[in-house]
Amino acid sequence: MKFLLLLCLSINLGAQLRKPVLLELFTAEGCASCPPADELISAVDQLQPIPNADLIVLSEHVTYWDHSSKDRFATTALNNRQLGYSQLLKLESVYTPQLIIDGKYECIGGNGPEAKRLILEALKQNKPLLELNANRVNGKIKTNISFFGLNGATVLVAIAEDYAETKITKGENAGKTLKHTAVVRALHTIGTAEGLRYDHTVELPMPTISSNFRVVAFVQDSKTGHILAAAQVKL
Amino acid sequence: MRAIFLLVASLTAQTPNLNPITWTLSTQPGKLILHAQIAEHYKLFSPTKSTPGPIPLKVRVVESKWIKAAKPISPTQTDTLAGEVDITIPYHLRRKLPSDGLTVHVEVEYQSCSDQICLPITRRTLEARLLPANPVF
Repeated sequence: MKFLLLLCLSINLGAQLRKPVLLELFTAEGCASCPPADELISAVDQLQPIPNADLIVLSEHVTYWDHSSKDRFATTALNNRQLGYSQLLKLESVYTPQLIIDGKYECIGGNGPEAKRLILEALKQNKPLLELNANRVNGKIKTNISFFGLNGATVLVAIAEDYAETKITKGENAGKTLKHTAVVRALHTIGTAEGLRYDHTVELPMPTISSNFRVVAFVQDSKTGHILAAAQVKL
Repeated sequence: MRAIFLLVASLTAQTPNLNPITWTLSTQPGKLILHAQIAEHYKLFSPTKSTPGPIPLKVRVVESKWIKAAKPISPTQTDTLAGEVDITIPYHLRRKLPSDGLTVHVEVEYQSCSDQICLPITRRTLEARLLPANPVF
């Protein structure tokens, strides 16, 4: 049994050619420094520029720049998620745009060279294969997640709008049309991994989304915040 | 591949400065001097900022039965401040200071950005000691 577990845990996505790395961009429509980071994350998503990496991106909008106009994608839950990272990474403050790489590294969201360096660092970490299936069923998103091991880690699912545009009329970005990629519209904590194999099916409510969307499942160490496995399905 | 990661080629800083404003509060007869030292490449949104967006700097003297403050005087009428900035806060004493002096508190609330990052609303409370004038011989 132990041998089987070790075997399963050691699956280094050998079957998959690309290792997943989760890139979470904390951004805001009211933040003047954010549009270059939004562009960078969009380019990374589309072009997948690192050959052996499956770069899974999420744009997570925070509310603390909502003084002059409301960012329709921002939620306090995402503020709290960023604050959690800030504490784990022992930062003095949150800021935007901030890129969190695999829950382990952080850099300024628009800093391409540093992001690349940290992605290459993240790729050194082996991850077990996370199998994800998602379908629309009766107005809900039926999602199945399975993987081996990772006992005690938290399983999360994000539903993200593939593409969104906002014409900004007030504030520092007034006059710009901002383009966003993989905008998180819902983030669900599904449960905790237990035992040899996690295999769970859940029906999630469908958020109001105007374009195509993607389902991103990931497993996160609840103590360190590190991303231990991740996968995405585009619907 | 390289082109994408060099998209923002001017960005070189590896670690952002998340505490870019250093505040000090000092006293002169009849006025408090609030000094902001703003880190290079950062800007502080000024109290006179007229456009919507980040909040302008707010300065509030915690008044007491001893002290009443007037409106802070900003050095310029621009939307943002950079470098070294002094903000003057005139005050008058409502009564004679205690013989051992008085601690005055000033609260600041502000937002700041560099060309790479923006920081959320930050609040600080500063203090300075007002001492009674030297006795006249």
